[in-house]
Amino acid sequence: MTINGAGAGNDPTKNTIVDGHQADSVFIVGQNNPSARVTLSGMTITGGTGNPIGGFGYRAGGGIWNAGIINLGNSIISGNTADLGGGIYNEGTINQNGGSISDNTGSSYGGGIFNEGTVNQNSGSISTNTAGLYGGGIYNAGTVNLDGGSIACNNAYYGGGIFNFATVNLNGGLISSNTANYGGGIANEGTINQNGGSIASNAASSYGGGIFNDYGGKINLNDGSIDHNAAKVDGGGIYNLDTINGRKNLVHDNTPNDFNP
Amino acid sequence: MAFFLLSPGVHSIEIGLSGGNRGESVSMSSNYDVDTGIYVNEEIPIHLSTIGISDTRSISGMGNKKVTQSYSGTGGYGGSASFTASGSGYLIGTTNLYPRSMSASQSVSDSGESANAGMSLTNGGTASVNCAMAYGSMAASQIICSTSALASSTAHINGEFGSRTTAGSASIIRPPSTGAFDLDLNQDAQILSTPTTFDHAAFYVNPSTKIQPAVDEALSDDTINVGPGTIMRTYISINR
Repeated sequence: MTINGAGAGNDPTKNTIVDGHQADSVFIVGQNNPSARVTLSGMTITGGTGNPIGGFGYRAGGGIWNAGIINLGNSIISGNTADLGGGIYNEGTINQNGGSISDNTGSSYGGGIFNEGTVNQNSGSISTNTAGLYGGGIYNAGTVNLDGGSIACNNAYYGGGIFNFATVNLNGGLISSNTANYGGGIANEGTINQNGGSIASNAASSYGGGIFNDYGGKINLNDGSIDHNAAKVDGGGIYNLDTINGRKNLVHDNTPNDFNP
Repeated sequence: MAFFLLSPGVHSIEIGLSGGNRGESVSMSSNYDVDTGIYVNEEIPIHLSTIGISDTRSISGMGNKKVTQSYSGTGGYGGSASFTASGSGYLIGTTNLYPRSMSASQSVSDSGESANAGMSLTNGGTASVNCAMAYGSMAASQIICSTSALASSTAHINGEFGSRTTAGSASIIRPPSTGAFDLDLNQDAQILSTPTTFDHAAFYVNPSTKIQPAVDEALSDDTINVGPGTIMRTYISINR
């Protein structure tokens, strides 16, 4: 089904605002039917605090808890909080075709999105989200396909833009201006296939301005660029502890260096 | 031409017409069960040269009304139209029957306790559309057409609702809803090589109410349009 609001924004005289009122997730999709499919457009989703998960007192998916298929278009998901996935907890499929996931907080993992399914970002932004530990923009334990849009200005201790534990396919779009102690753009313990797009202007206060490639991490550089990132200690472009394949010349103009020695 | 003008006070009316020549034939019948105070008008020019019937009919007024019309012709086609309502409203219908082809339409409107409107076509299979309203208002336009094997309906309903769209063995059934809604309902049933059904509702939700009741009534292809405002809700659960 499709749910169309009057428009996303903060003006209730013009916009549709769905407010979780600091209780549970705002939308829960596919909990009883993984084939459930919904398009959400033209609304602001805010004020959610997630659903209990895992039996340890954690809450997941402040704005949206998804086990189905969601198409996001021209909606704003902001001002939500949870332990896992302040904006969205996903174990199904999220297709972002516009709009923004911004200003959400994951107290532990995934400020914008905690992903165990598939996230396809075609346009729109994931920005200014915060995670207390891993993945300011996205904590990924599934598959993230970035074909457009941006992941920008997010913050975490480990992986400001993305913490990747599984697979990230960067085909287009921009990972920019994210910050972290380790891995300003991405902290990686899985596989990154960069086929396009840009990882630029991210910053780490310790290691890996663009990418912190941890033990178990594999990076395949096929196209695109990793540039103008900065790390305070080492590995401005990539701080590597495991495997990098492909075109290392895609990594350039980083500070203090493109790769750690 | 046959011409009928029926005044208030009539409760039950039956009209039947048929024509044929050289193995080609058409037939039509109309039935009215109406309360006192309902006006009924039906005009039926008969085309002897082409063996055809063109019919226009209308009813209007406040009270119970049950109107049915059935059609058949050479080539095996058949059809029917029905309208049952209990409030204030009207029906305007047109019918064109020829051997091997026909088309008919009805526009209905009613406000009150209940209304039900449907049309059905049999032509190598059965295509039918039906929509119903309770405790509100309904305005619907429906057609059937044998040449394109189509039954189609558009309706605006404000109240409880239900619908059924059938093409061959394919059927989409909405049981009566459990709450009052404001919605547009578009239905198509077509008998082609593969019978197709389409039953799509667009709900309109006022933010002063809740989204969940519309979500619970919506089918997977439906649209829920929410107006401007703030909706306070702990969660909205979607499982279709």
